[in-house]
Amino acid sequence: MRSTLFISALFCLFSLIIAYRATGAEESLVVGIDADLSAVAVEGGKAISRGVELAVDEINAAGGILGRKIRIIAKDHRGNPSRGVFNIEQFAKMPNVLAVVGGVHTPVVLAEIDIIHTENMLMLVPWAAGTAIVDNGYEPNNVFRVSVRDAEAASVLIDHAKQKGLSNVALVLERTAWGRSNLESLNQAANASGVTITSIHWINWQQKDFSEDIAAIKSGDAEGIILVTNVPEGVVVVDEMAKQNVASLPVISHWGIASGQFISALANPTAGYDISVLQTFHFSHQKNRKAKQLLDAYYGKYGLIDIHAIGGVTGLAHAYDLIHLLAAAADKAGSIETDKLRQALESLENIEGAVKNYDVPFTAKRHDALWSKDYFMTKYNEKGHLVTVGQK
Amino acid sequence: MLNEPTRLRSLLLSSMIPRLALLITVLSITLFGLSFHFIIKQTDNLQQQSVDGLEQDINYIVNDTTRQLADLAANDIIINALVDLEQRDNYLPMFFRSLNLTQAESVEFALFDFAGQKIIDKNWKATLPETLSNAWRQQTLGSSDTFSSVSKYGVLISVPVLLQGVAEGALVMYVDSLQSLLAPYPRLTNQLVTDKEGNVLFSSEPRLIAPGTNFADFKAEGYATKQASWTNLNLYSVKPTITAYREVAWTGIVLVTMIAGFVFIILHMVTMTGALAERTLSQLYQGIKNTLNSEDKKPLVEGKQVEAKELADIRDAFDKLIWDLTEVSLSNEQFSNVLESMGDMLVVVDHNNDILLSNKRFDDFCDNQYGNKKSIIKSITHKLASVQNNELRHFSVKEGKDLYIQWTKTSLSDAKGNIRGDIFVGSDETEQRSLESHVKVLTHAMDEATVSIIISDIKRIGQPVIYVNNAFEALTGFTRDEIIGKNCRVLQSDETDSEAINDIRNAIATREPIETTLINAKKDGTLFFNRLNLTPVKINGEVTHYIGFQQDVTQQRQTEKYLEEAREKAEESARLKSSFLASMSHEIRTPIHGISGVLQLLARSELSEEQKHYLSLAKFSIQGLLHIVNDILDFSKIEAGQLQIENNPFDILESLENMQSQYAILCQEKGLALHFHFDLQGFHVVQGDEVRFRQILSNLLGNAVKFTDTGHIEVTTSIKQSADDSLRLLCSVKDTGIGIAQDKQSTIFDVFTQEDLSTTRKFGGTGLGLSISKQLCELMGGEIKLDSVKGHGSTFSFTVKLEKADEDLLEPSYSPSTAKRIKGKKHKVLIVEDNDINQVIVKQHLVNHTTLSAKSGFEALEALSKMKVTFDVILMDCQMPEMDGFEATKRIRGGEAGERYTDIPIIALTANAMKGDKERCVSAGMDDYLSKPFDAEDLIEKVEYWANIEKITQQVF
Repeated sequence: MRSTLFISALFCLFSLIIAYRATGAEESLVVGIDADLSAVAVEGGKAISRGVELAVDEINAAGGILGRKIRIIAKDHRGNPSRGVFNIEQFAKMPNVLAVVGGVHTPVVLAEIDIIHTENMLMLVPWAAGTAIVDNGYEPNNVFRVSVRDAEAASVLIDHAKQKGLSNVALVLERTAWGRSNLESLNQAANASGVTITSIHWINWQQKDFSEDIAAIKSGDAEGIILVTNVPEGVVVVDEMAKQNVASLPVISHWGIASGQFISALANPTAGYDISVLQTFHFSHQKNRKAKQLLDAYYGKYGLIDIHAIGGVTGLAHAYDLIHLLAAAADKAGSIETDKLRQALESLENIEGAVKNYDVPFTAKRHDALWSKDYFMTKYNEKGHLVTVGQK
Repeated sequence: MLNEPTRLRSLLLSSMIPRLALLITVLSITLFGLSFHFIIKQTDNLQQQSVDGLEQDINYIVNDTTRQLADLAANDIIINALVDLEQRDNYLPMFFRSLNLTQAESVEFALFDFAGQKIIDKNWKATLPETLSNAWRQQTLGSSDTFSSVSKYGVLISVPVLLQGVAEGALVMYVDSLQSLLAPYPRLTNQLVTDKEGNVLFSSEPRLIAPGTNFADFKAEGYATKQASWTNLNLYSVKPTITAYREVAWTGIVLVTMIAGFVFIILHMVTMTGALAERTLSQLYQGIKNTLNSEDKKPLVEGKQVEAKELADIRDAFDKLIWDLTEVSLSNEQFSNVLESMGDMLVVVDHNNDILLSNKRFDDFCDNQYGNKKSIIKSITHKLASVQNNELRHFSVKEGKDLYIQWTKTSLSDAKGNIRGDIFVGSDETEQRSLESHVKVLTHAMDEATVSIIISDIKRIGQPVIYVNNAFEALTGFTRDEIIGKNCRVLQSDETDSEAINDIRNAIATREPIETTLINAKKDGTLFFNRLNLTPVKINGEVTHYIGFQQDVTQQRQTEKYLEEAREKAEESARLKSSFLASMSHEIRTPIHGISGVLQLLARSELSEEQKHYLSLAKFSIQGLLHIVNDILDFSKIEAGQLQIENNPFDILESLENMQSQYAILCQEKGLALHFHFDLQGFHVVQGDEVRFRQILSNLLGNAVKFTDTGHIEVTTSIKQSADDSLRLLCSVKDTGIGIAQDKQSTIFDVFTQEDLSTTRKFGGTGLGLSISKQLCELMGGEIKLDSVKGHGSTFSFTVKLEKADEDLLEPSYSPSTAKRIKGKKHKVLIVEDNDINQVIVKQHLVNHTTLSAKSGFEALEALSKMKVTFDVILMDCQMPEMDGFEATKRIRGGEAGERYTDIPIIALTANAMKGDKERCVSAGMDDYLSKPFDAEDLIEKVEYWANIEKITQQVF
């Protein structure tokens, strides 16, 4: 049902595109979105889309890029890498595509790396954190990221554990490329910081039973858990902790669980959990001009909302900043050709963003814009909203 | 009947065989038809069953496999594999290799991604037509739904691998043919599955129809088929028709055999029945023939042969008929005897009133009448015609009185119904008439009786009332019509005493008479006391009726009740009065004792003559007061029925002499002469109550002295022996005083009565003395009388009953002479007394002895057990707070004050002079008894006596 709707929606879009081609002298530019809009990380997908929309609105209001309006075409990959590859193939066939903004899921982006480069398309990553996404071995590299980098995230997570006085931690990782990417970096970070990883537990997507693993963690020496999963699996893990009376065991989570309504999905949302989540952006943490501008725009377009209740706020800010960076690069390059845009992106300087001021956002060797110093930890408050640590 | 009749057996056979043959023919045809129908139907059912089974099998295989496949698709390893493109090759193949769902050998599995690209497979060799490939992709990947297809291309089942409700991939199972899925197991019939074009997909009997062929090519002749549809398939059940007809043939053979047996059995039974009937009937015929010929009453059938009930009945009826015939032929003589034995007269006459037949009773009647029989008959017919009823009065010549005869006339008719004459039957009702008049008289008497009478028939259910008289109606208000036929319970009300009702029931049940009084209700509800007298009526030794006589005793009852209440009230007030007086006199005694004691103490001190005179006046007053109190006490004792008459031996002569010496002084003071006369018949020592005797006498003497100013007083005493050996003492006191008027004499012994008020004013006194004396005399079995003339003195005489006694029985008294008194010896006395004044008095009286006082039994016990000195005597007041004298004495005797005091003499001091005091003291263990007020002399005497007694016993032991 849903897929038929989706297919018919696609048809409508195609027909619109065809209509534009036929009539418009100056065809509008396209920014593609390839994210999970209906399955496991809907909130993240939605936040990314909104970030893109708000940035595009601002850019269009200021006259567009190179005098051409920007259009957004969103495709849903449902977290499925095969769908993601399929989507990229579709975008590759379209004209005037500036870049494609990726989604939450590292495995999807990783699966798309090859086709991105064979088709020579720009991929902007506002969320997926896998180290290998950026360190993909392609030269030149078409992937630019404003998001967490797992290798960096690992050190922040391990540092936070240490800060909490935990010297033995168990890892819970999803059995995907993202999970594996984190295992590697967490091992390194733990070695470097002298934190012992007592055990490693893998969880399949849509796995419903995690009792044996929690029992093993419970009986082991672990003083805390480092969690690298998305919302559905994270819920299974934390629910099982509550069931086995270890709810208070500290959970230091990668930001995967921030991509959806995590707390409200729990069987018992108020069981006294100690869950801290890695974040890069929060309206109560970043209070710069761009952040305020973004919030105002958000309020203006999507209505007033508690800043803590804005879901997947990092995706929002990352996507917002990425589009502005792209626009700045296009302006600088004066072209929409991939190679020129890439070079422009690699040479941008001193760009004001919502997450931070980017002195040099990217270089030829460095396609990650955010580093561990840009990360911070947050906690869930009673309403299930993320707040910066120390804030109620 | 010229021809010899056919025998019964042949008759039966010839009539039954044609019908039987017809019946059997019809039956056989029906049976054949029915069994053919059912066999065909059963074959059809079998086919249907087989097709249904096949449908279930296919359904099961497809649905169950689909379900299992869906379970697999929900496995998180499969889901994860769709996402984990990198590493799924590490675990997915192993998982896939382990897959196995059906028993078919060549099962092929494959996992497809969302775009329909195969990710992994197992045995996947399937070459599917385009349509089928597209169909499952569209259904499973497009619509996220399961898909199954059974066709000539094989069996394909696909299920979606869902992520958030949408297919992200598909798990597909394929088997190349249905034949290998549906296991070859035994089936009811040959089963086939074809597609809509008739291509055989499955055949349970491949030798008959091979899979892959077309069913249309199959030669269906000689086969019955049954068809059903399942989705796009046709299901068939094929069964050779020859098997069905074979079954019909077999059933036919069985049926023919059964019918043949049936025919044979019926024929045999008919023959048997015929033979049996023949034999029985001939026996019956033989039996009747024998009976008629021989008049012999032997049984018609000899031996105990098997015989039908109906035949036996016929024979019995026949026997009875013969018997009756024999009976009817009784002789004329016997008939006459019957007539003669009749109690009534019987005469049969013809039309001319000529007597045809008459019995002896009628003849006797005629002898007793004037005229001959014929004229008598004539007169009877004549009279009967003229009077209304049939009762005629005839004058009896012999007995000289009227006879009442009830005549009944009936017509005499012959066999053809012609009237031949009349039959007269006359019964003598004379006796009955006389009984009736007798009953009338009695009934009238009962009706008019003033006492209410009711009669119940207790033999009938409900024991209804059958008679009530006028008095009953008047008493209860119920009329006869209202009460007769009902149970007399209607008279009962809620107030009726259930015990009385039970008594009545029991009496009726045991057929006893009963008299009782109970509350009944009249018709208008008024209650009344009914004195009911029930008498059983016996007829032939059995009680059949009860007669009740009722009397309204309400008035009487109420009067009795009032009297009873009045009596109770009077008694109650008398009791209250006595009790009040008793307690008053007791309360008064205590202060009197105090005054008396003090006076005694005073008398011992140095006094002037004048003081001594005053003291004597005071003493006299005290004595008078005491006298009055004692009188009141005695009176209240008598009233309360508490006065006990003692029965001890005493010396009456000594007693009288003491009285004489006592009153001689008084008389001397008043200038009167006092004479005592004795006639004691030698009975000096008698058994009786000395104290009370002296009380009566001193009372009379006191009165005599009081009311006599001049003259003399004479006391005459005599004893007479009665026939029963008891003694009767007669004593009279005669004075020459003021006398008592005749009209006052009758009340002089009443309470508080003196002759008149002027007497009281002049002489004082309570007016109790004579009353007490009278009561005492009566208690002592005697009486008191007065004989007096106003102004000429009075004579009071009284009698009391005494008994003879032996002189030896006299109790030795401890008079000063008998007591072993050691003068001047000091004794240690414990005085237990709560009243301070009395304590002081006793102490002063016993000033020559060592005394110690205690205020209660408690203190006494304490003093006894704690003091080192040993007391010789204890004086014990009876009424004290905390612990009274009785209790204290019991404890001392029980050893609570130490072993040394268990036998100490204890003398009771009591102001309570009521009955039982002395007994109570003795039973509590006291040795003697001193009633307040007492004289100092008496006290000292008793103390010294008991102290020495104790000494003596101590010396003895």
